[in-house]
Amino acid sequence: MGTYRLLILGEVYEVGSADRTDGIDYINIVDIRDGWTDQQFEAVKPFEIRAVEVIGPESILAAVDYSGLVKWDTQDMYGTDWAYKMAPPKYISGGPADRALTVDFNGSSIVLMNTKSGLPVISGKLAEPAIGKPVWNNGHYYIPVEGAVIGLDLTLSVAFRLNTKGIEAAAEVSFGKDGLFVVDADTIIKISL
Amino acid sequence: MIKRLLLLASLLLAISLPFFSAASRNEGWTMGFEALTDHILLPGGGIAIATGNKVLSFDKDGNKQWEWQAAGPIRRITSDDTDAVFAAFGTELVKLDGNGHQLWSADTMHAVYSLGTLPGGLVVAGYEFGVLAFDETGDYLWEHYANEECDS
Repeated sequence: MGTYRLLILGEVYEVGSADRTDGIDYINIVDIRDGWTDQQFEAVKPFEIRAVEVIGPESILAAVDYSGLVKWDTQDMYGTDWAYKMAPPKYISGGPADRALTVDFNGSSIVLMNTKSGLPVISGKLAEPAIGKPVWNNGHYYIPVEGAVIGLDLTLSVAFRLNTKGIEAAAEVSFGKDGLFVVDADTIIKISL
Repeated sequence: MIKRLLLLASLLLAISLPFFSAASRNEGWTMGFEALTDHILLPGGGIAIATGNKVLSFDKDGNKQWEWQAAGPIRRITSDDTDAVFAAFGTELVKLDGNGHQLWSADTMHAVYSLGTLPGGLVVAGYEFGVLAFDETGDYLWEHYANEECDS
């Protein structure tokens, strides 16, 4: 986050229980100079938090049960900048200024959000379900699907498709110094860009 | 009943033997393993991976640079802006230099579920009860104990 502030996501579970709690239970901001709690996000408790994305030094988006998508300024413990009612998305990905992309739990429904107003800009459906979190880079959202990475522009149109044969599930996309890496449980693919 | 808390974690582990198959030179490369526990991109363009008890480092062209073996399955790895790699396994956190040599080891008391580095050389580890912070030499700095999140 901003200077001296660390965002932590916590999960509470019962010792000895085989069933881990589903989702994140709390969001805290920690002062990295001494480890003390700087802020806690009380506004969304006690509901499960499904995804979190930092979109600025003092801004996060969170997918929360019953609330949908919320924006928190990391300062007001009990307030949100806005809350948009929707099924809590599985993935939230920051983008260019005032934009973020959400993907639902089926991996198919996508919504480009205006992060300033808290309203959707455009929505759509992926032809193939996303198997990992989209990543914004150089004008496109890179979305891993089975065997490929598709690139969406800000109209949510498919601009390109990169072959990642061998990537099957739970893929992570990240950008290195000179290329794109796609990693799943047993395969690494680097694509030079 | 006593509740404990756990910082969010991810992924799998196993021993693996990598194989290498290349696409054309301009397209990149592909590498397969039995199972990957974690991975982190390196500042020089390469990638470090954790698989079973091992950390392996590859350069941007997919050439293996070094391999380091821990005393147990590695849970998480991360890197800083110097190509150093930090690896958490058991109740231990180690720092490896850019050649895979261990620089220091620190006691995390419990299993680590998430790792990160911050400006100034700070290393933060999410563990069973909160967050631990270590400086660039591996000395313990502070603990964020998140007990207030647990119901008594």
